[in-house]
Amino acid sequence: MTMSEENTVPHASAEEKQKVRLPETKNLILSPSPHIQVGPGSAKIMCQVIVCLIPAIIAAFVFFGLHALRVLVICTASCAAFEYLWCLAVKRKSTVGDFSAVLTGLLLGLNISSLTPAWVCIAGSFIAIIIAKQVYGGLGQNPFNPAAVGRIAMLMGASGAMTQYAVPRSVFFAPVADALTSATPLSMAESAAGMGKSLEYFNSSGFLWRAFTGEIAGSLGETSVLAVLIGGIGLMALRLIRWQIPVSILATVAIFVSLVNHFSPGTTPGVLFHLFTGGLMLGAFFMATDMVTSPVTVKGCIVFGVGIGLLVCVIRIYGSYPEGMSFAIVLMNALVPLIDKFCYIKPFGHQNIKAGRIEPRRGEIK
Amino acid sequence: MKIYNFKGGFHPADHKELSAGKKERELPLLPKYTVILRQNVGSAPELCVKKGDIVKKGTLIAKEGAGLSVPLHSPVSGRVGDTVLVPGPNAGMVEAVEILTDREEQVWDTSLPPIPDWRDTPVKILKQRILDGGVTGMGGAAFPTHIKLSPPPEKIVDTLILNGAECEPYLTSDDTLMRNHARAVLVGGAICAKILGITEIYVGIEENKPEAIQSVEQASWGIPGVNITVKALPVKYPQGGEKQLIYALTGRKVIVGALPMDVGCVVINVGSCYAIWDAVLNGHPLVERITTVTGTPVVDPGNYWIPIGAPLSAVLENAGGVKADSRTGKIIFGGPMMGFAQYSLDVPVSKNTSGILLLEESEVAQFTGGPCLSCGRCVEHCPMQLPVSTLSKACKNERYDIALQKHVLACLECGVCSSVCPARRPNVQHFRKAKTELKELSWKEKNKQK
Repeated sequence: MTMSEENTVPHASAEEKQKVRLPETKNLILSPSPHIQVGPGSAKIMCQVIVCLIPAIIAAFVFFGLHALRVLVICTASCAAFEYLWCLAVKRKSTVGDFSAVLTGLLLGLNISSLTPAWVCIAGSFIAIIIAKQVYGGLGQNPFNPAAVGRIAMLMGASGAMTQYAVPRSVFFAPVADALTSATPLSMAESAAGMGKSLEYFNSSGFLWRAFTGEIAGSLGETSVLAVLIGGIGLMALRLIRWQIPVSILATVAIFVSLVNHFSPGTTPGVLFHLFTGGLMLGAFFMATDMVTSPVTVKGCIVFGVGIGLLVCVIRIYGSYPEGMSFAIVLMNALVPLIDKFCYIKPFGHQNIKAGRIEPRRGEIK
Repeated sequence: MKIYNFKGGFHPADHKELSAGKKERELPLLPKYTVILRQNVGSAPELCVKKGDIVKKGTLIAKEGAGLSVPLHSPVSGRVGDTVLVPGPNAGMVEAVEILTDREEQVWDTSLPPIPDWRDTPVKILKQRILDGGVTGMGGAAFPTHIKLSPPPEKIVDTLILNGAECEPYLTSDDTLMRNHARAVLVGGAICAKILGITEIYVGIEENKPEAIQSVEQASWGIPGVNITVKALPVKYPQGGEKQLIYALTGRKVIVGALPMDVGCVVINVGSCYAIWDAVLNGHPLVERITTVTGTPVVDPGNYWIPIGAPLSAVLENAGGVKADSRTGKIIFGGPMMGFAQYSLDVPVSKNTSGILLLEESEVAQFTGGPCLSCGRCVEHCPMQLPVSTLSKACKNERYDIALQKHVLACLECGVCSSVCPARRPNVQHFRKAKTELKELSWKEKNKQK
């Protein structure tokens, strides 16, 4: 069929053969399959996440001026420097090029106040990079989110300096001492509720709008919900995070807060207040979704998100701290290996055979 | 009709446009062919000709060996030369027999008479013909087809599936066969159905081959006696994996460790169906096959009918060689996901060479094995839903007990997990090693018990 019965094609002439260039075998790479790769590499993923943080960085600059940039630059530079020095000390190839330390530095900076002294920033970076990440073996081995651990350590160790929050737009490049400071809405609400005052102000649309755009006191990246949401949508569009994590965190907080409001009104402000204030948005989109410290399966991600949402609410409403996002993330990070173990997916065809829709038919061809 | 969509899988840029839809071409007669003896899974056939014997195209040169084996035939008319060692397609040197052509007239051996009235022929004779024709699986593993068509009597088979998914990127040889020889493919399928004693035939083709789907659908009307259903499947790799294909078409899941026949299915590649048709209706044994020669460096990519035993260098010469400004980094027999990299241009084409793919140096994947980010991409894309990230770490640390517990033996080795890994970790490579080690361990244990 394909070659005729009498196929007498002459051999290709020698002249024709010389024109044809054949691949050089000495250049050939020998390795087992697969031979092609798709998708971004680790460093590119880190860079994409950093790009998604840009709206939050711009918002921080708009509301807190040059102090915001000062804190971000110090945190980022010292995180990268500690990563480099650690690699130098343990005689390993420098891993600064994977941009994970830069990302940790940026997240750490966005998690603290614009008035944080430089030494606190540097100490926090040291804890985040060396103690929370490198001693475990570096990128991919750390059980806890480095930025969250760094922030918690700073909050514990320098709680005075860490709870000084500038009023937005109050200073641009004036010295720190001249800044107007204010408590965060979360702590104001907690003390108001503690004293039995009305919480109506925190549920007013004017306040909620300011909280959404970012005109409230707080950490650099936490105040503007709008900026974090833009970055978060970018993360989901680039498929850098599992959407299940932020969605389950936010949904859990919304449900829990509305239940509390329903059964004991006056304990805490409404759902939107809790969603728009504090580190919830930044934590849900950028911190909890850190690939290394979140579960690998979809089911696990939902369990993880629900756990964080519950812990945040419990700490905020019943705990002594006004904000608990970093605590919730670190606590749930500790459970990730367990979650992964129990949300283990069954391999294809592991369960009993399900009969398909075709009826078994047997017959002889006539 | 419902299509079951399996979880996982991915669709890389498939570059099928390089070779799809082009006219099939033939290779000119070469002065020398080297036919590898052991081309099939199982034992090698035994050489039954000696140096200097005159052979015709299709003359038996090696009888089937003991057990799992198929015979081998001469791809051209000529003289038998030396038995030599040549680089094999799966690495290592393998035994091969040379066939020298001295401008002899190319004629077919007529020892296998055509069987035009196959519908009235006993099943036994048809099965014997498939064996005599040397037909093996043409997709990848080269499993002897006559064994596939002889399920043990206690297994009830009710569905024959013709695998035309061709999910591997770059390859279009099955596509070409279905476009241009749909009737032959379906008659081959009908012969298999007769042997199995069933009437239900499903043809699974990925949606990105509309011409093939149309052509197979048209051809299916003209074949009486069997119910042929052509189904368009979602475009994703590994749609053509046996278990995935059975699930997509019938909704039946082949449990881990079981065979397709346990759920009443037999899966045959469309290339093998064509070979069966050729062996039964024309009496031509499997001595040449259609192969996609493709890749960005290739001057003239396309689908070529290549006699088994033609060396790679001759094939590439006839495809115009490589472009002047290219730097070929890899030559692959098969597709880019599961094919084998070659190191020599002397490798002959064998029965399961579905494609010859050249990759630019910049296109070749580098598995640098960075730290795992636990991003879950591998878990998300694994068609078997294995916990790839933890499994890969267990295998790397040679904790085969954990690997066994986490079902490493269910791995298809499709390579998706390695391809999508941002840290460029060689996941599937670890699994292959673990599977081999585990098999060795179980052999050792069996021997101990004896």
